[in-house]
Amino acid sequence: MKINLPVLRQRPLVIPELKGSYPSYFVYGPIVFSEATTDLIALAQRNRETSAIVGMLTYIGSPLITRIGDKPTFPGERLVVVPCPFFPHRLSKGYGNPGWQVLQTVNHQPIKNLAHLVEVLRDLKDEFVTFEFNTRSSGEAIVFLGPKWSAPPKIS
Amino acid sequence: MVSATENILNDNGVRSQGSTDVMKIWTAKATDH
Repeated sequence: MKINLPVLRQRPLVIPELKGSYPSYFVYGPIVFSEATTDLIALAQRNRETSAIVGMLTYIGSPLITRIGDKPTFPGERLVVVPCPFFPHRLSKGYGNPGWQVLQTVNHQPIKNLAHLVEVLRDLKDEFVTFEFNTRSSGEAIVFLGPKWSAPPKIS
Repeated sequence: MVSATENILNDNGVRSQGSTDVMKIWTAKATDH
């Protein structure tokens, strides 16, 4: 008996490997967004200083840990992550370090992947943009001005 | 916010606001909902 079946050459993953390519990224104000990859998580495990990050991610129930090896639940699903601390700027004053957190919503709209985040920000007409992250504890939302708005000038 | 982002990129020596793939989306015309 001969059967012809299409086979997958690789398992689709919500946290894929970079496979030697550069990660996509987007900067909005002082915050950087990228997509979670196994390479990024491996970076945290590489040495003693950063391995504490893995413990912290486990403690907060981060999808970076809980979804390793998962298939996407819909086509194109990826985890949008903040891969580094804020750039220094007055806009980020008062906020904790969002590094290694996974973005869940923008103005209460669930985010599917980095391209979708950029689309949502691009089309946003609201005065403020609120970033909410996926943690077991409620965590901290970050609020910035919307992309089409600018801060009032400083009065000296 | 656009100018704040540009200042941050300049201050930190970052050449582009995003990778090529996402900048195509960012600079595309906004969709009407």
